[in-house]
Amino acid sequence: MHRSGQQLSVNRHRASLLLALCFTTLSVSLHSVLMVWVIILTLCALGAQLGLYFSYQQHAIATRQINLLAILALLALAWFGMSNGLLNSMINLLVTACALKLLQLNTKRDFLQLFSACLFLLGCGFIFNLTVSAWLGYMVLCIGLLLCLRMLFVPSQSLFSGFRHISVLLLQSAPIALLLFMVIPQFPPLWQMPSSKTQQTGLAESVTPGDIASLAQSSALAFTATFEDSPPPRATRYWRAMTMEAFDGKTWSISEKRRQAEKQLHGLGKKLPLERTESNAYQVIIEPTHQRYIYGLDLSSIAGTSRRSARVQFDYALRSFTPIASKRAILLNYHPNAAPISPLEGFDSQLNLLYPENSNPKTEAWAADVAKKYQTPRDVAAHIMGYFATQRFVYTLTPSAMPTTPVDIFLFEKKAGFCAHYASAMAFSLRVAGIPARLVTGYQGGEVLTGRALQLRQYDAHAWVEALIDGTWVRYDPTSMVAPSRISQGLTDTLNTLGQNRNSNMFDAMQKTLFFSAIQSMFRQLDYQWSRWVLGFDNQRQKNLLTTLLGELSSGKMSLIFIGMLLVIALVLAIYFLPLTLKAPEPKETVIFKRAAKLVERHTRIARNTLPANAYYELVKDELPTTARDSFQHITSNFQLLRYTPQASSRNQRLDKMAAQLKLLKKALH
Amino acid sequence: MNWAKRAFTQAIAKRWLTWLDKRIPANATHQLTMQSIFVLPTVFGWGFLITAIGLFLLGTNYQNNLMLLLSYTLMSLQLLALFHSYLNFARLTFKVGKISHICANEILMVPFSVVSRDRHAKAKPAGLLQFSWLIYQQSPQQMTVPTTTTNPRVQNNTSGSNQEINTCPSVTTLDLDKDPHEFGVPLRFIQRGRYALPRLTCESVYPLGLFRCWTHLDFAQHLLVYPAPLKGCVDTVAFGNEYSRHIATTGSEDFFALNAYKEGDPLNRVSWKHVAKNGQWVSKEFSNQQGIAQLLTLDPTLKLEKALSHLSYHIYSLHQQQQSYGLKLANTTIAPGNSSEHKKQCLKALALYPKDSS
Repeated sequence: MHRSGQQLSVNRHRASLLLALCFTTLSVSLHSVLMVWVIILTLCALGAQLGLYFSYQQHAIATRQINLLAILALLALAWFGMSNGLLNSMINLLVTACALKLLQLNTKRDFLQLFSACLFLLGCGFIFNLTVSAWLGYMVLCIGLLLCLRMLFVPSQSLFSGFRHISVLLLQSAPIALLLFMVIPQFPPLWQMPSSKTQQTGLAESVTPGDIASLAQSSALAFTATFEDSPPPRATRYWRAMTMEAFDGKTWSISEKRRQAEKQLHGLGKKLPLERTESNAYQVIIEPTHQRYIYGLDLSSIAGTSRRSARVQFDYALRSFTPIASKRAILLNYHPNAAPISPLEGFDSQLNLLYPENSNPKTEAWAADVAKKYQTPRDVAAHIMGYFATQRFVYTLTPSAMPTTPVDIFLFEKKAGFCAHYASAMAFSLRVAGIPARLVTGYQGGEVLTGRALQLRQYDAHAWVEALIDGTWVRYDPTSMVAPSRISQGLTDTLNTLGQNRNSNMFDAMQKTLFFSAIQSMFRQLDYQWSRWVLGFDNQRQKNLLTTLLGELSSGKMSLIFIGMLLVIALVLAIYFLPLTLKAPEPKETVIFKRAAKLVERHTRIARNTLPANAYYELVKDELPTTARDSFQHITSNFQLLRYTPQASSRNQRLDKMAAQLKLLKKALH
Repeated sequence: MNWAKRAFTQAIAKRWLTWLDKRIPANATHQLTMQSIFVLPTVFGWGFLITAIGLFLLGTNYQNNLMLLLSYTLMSLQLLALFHSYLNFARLTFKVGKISHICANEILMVPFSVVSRDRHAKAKPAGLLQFSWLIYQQSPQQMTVPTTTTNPRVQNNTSGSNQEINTCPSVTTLDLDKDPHEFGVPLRFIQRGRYALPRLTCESVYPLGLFRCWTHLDFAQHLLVYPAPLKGCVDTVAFGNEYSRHIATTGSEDFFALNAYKEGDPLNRVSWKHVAKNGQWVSKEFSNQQGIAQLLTLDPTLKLEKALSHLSYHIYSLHQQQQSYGLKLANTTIAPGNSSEHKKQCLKALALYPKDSS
């Protein structure tokens, strides 16, 4: 027995040490957001706890020193906070506060506060890591944290039994949590949250064909698309990300005028006529890019609940309202038969005829010549396409650099390059020839994962040209003239046939073995299903699921569903706990004695209440007829014998005798 | 204002205790059931819920399903903890041991034992149990629960005689996984008298500290509190001759008490120190009395409680020296003897002696 206090014992406190370990692991898992000195502070706090546990150190650090540290840390946070963004600063602040708390972990109250903060940090971890493995890791940490808590309140049990109990608790709570997850409506964001400032990935916002290609090297996943019906054929799978309408002679980029026009048009509430055509619904799950563009099959519109978070621009590109900081699922409608009509023909053609004069003089002369030869814009475009096909152009991922007059050098000297070179040269030529044209970047193709799902990787990035002819944007893909297999089979196959390698990865050979490709495809499948069912589970999906399970949803039915959910939870709890609360059956001797006592009670009208058996017998014996008294005495004495000396011999015989005596008693009292 | 407040608290406490008497009737053993267990979230439990709600808001705002799942998991975990907490507590059965009578201001370790409801069941109760006494002051002027005092000794001295019972350390903790299941909960009484054992509050926050299960148990026990022994003089009368207020024989081995000097006291018994100091003639009395047994009685010159305490001291010390003594109080006379039973009888008479009305 010991006297309790709110004070934790400082040395050899297992729960504190485990909490320190969990906290440190948690902050290391957040290393992409945390500043280096914050992680170092965390490690120091862990070191201090280790010192206390192994008794290198006898006392926790004094409050005064902690306060000094806290002031320094706050100053540092305020200093770096400006450049870090609000979300990152907040997480840094929380981790710093936890680390300082860990340094002076003295009372139960400190412990519980630290625990709660760690739980919250664990949740924040999901902002940055959404993969299956991250989730598993965080679940392990969650078990660890709960184990700390249990060790605090049940200090003397072994680590293993604590672990077992926590696992049982979590397993029991899983069905309830899943039920809540499926039934509680997914609300739209309640207010705007700060987003993380992290290195942007994916497509660049400008294209300079003269530079060396880098994107095509990466096999990282860009996005996954899942169609309700079968996906369209590969040759038509052009995924638009950005349209680039400003050209300075070397670099294509998104036009400032376009950005301003978008804002104005959006403010006016104008709409594109896409929605009226036939559509095919699909979902894209985009890997985090920290940028706002969304990849949509040409042409697509935003569908369902995703309308709250994204919209179609007037250049038919899709934009999210907030940067995509974590894996996000977006519902889209594909309009295969819609024509990309220019919504503002005057503005579009004006913007897309601009080019810097004398930037690529040879091309300008050549394009002017072509324009004179052919009457219609379509003929001009066809001639340029034919030029690529006939002039022995080569498709390569490693073209030489073209620092000055890149279009001239590409078209008339090197004649080797990849999609951006071809698209840039063509769009420039068209502009010179007086045909409004622009560069579109995005992805092309995609690998079939299952019958209805496609995966697009960074090496599927592509660029093509759009020309404005008769009020409609017409797509031209000059790359297809040079390397038709790039469009029909994808990049990897194209390079194989051309005898080039996408990258010089040493694992390449290994990846070709059957075993590795099997494992790789298994992980891809797992990741895809995870993204689709767990990360992409939104309001729409939730409704669909409930509709398939329960039929059409009305508001009355929704309230029934909620009541049903509560009932199911009650049922689950009953399954868990009812068998435990049911009393173990009473031993036979008790049953017989109780029956006898009841008979006697009824006869004598003397209540037994809580009297011991023999005391009750003494109380009533004078009120009973002789035979009944003998029987009751026999039952009482045997009951006491069996009840209080469980190892008594000939138990069964005694029980039989008791039962016989009970019969006699019944007879005697009737 | 203060008076109204006190009256109000008193009325509430009275109703509360009456309700408790009905809800959890007194009994020497208590098997905890739905009837006797109270469950509410702890402060930390509320904090845990708020954390879960915070994660829900964060998950909704970031449209992050994993965060939502975590939040739902925490909420259902809390729901399950409620049941685990209750079931663990409901497995307990409390029994009270034999209570010995004590003197005022002494610490009594009230013996209890805790057993599992089903000795053969696989799941045994676990975790920490905390015990304290549910005490409302008997005196109408003071209705406070002193269980939260950190240093009851200090409080005793200042709060005077109105406070009748006090707990010594306010909370006792029992670790069911480690400690023996027989344990004592300390209790201290300030005044002599006959008391009912106050209700024992037992609580547990097993398994995660999210919920507090507690109960207030009345074990239907009464105990006598003897006056605290206090060294000092008493009057004695010889047994059989109740009018002679005189000590018949006194030995000279053990100093026993100081009495006012009476004519005829031998001069070698006079405490010359006192005479020299303040001119007061007192004679020393020694306790090696033999021969005629004596009856101890109250010294009327002292305050009643003090005189009773002196008597108590004498009873203890005479019993220890195995001398025979008797007691004479108002109407009761206990014939001399020196057995343990005799001692208890005498002390009981002291404990139950009517209180000074003035």
